[in-house]
Amino acid sequence: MRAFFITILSFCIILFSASTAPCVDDIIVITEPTIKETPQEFKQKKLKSLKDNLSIRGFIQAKWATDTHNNSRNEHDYTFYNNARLEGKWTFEGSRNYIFASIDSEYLWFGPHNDEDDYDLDLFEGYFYWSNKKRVRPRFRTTPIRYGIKRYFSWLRGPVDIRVGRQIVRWGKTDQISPVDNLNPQDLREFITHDLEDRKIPNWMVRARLFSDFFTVEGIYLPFFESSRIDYFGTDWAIFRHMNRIGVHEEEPDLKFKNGEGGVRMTKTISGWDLGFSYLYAWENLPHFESFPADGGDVQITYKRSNILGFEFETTVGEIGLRGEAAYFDQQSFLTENLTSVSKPVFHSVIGVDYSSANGWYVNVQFSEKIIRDYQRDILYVRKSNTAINGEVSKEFWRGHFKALLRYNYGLSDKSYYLNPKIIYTYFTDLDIILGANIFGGDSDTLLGQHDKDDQVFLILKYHI
Amino acid sequence: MIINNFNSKNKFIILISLIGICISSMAFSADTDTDSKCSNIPISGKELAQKVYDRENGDDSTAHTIMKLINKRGHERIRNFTFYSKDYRPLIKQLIRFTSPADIEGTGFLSIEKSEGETDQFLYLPALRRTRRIVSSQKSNRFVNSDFTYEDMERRPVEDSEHKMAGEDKIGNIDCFVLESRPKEESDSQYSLLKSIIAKNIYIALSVEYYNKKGKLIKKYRTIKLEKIQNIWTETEVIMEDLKKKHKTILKINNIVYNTNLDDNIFSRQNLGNW
Repeated sequence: MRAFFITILSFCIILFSASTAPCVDDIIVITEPTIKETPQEFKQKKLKSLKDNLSIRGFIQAKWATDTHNNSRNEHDYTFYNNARLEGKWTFEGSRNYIFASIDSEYLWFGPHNDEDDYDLDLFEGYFYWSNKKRVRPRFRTTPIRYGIKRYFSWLRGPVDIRVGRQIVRWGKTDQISPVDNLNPQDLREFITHDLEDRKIPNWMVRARLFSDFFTVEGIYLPFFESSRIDYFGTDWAIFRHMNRIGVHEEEPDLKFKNGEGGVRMTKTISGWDLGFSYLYAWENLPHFESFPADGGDVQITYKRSNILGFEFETTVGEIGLRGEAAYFDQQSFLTENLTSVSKPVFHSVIGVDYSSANGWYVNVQFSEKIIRDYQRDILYVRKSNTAINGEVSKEFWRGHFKALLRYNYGLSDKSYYLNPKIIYTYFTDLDIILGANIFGGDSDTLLGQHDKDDQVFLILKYHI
Repeated sequence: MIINNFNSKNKFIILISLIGICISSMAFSADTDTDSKCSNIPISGKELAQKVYDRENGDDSTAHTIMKLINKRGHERIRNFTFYSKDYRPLIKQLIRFTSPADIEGTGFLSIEKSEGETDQFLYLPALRRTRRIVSSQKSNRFVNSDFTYEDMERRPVEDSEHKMAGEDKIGNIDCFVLESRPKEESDSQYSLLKSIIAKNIYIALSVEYYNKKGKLIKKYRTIKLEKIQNIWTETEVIMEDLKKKHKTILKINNIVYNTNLDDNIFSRQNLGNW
């Protein structure tokens, strides 16, 4: 009997040991796996979810600005700007194709004396995006005899994407001053006090891109002309500021195919250098003043065609980002002392570096040079050669909850400057609180110095939906 | 008395019982199953590091992840992102797309390994509507203000460090190796030492201690939850703690799927800028 129990005990030990040996499978599975479907089932389940096809987002922001000087009765001491945008994106099932649309409500007020205001409710962007996943077959058969021809046309096999509708397309690499980035007009009703990307106005265009192993080609066609938004009279930022208001007659290009704008851009990466070449045949977005009446009548404004050749590059060298652009304009309009415009060829280049440190510092320095050929002395605000240094210095604190930032632009040739310091507080989820200033300086006959008396401090509240 | 009562038959039964006890002891320590991996075969530091580097993580994966940033006062910031990864053996391409909160929604980060140690990285900011090439060598920079730096998120090439086995340990009931890795000078690492506790035979780091150039312990990484998904061991919840600033980052995978044959075009600048 004793032996029997010993035997049973031994077998129990065997069974117990085998079942409790610390094999990895038994110990590491802490919970049941979260995914029990097969990859195919998971994909199907995702595709059927309507919520995943539609995304809604947007923001609402308000900006209050007050001048730091009270110089004259005509001057606007206060600015209020309110902007709300709602965006929706519908992605088609089983593809990357989508429709995107955004509605923008915008109110701008200058006051309190001789107050001016402007309200718009518009379609901001609205476009259809299509992309093929498959590679386009080469036109020639891939036979051994024509192997060389196939290789020559192999670039045709890249994926293609097309975007049609009202949109913003950005070319170029440099920040805030970008000579190559001319596809969209800008909202200049507050001059350059908004960032370049926020000043961009969408316009109707077709963009097609072909991606290949060799290079990427992008073609643009803009059927309808849209000018930049700018005030001629009545505000501190208007071209003629608070001069006695007179009528303005703008002659925009007719809606005809031949009046469309078009361009092509080719980009390629070689040994870590991103290079781009572009050509744009477009209307200038800024007005060309044909005449300014001395006695009665309207200011006559037209828009001029321009051929723009562009080059851009970007790379990293060690811990530094290096980027640059150059553009040649066969003509650009400049205002003269008699308040009419002249057109001159222009060469504009920008080269810059940036650096981010481990402790949250960011430094961006760019050097800009704009040379006006066949310069005339009566051209206002710009010189024959205009060199400037611009960029940004910023530091993040508290893991990004708080950011101190300074954007700067200093004219080396005319000693004018623009400083835009800001502090950005993002402690509350989706809410940006921004306190800042716009500070101009320099002689009154310079582009920046003319606003020397328009320094302001501002507060922006922006809530992201 | 008791011994005298044992006849031959009883001795035989006792012998069988003893053999049974020996067999059970062997079962405790032997590899009874090729998947159970209870091995104590000696392994060098470099071999272990190589096994960690080469461990199975699927041909590709798509993971919906929550990132929680917790400061010393307990205040939390939550970010959601989708992480795409594809292994081109030996190189890896990765895309991270933030889906919330709203102020960073659409921000994308693309990393393309070119050759061992060299990586192209690009950033897309929806507000700028541009992709930007960023410096990949700024490894000590924090990734989106978390406690993970870019160096922590890159795969660490085995040859970039000197590896040494530092014994064995146990986390819970999991047998582990202890590996000490000292990054070489030329690797430009922010760390002087990484002390990893690696689960035996599945070669996943369950805990890593990070020491700065002065030899001080500055960060600690822990795997909180480990799951076997599609037969691939996956760290579904991990935590990185900054010991000096008392700040933590928790990464939790809500949903992950492997081997769906992700399109190569996902890891392109075209796709990065298409938001």
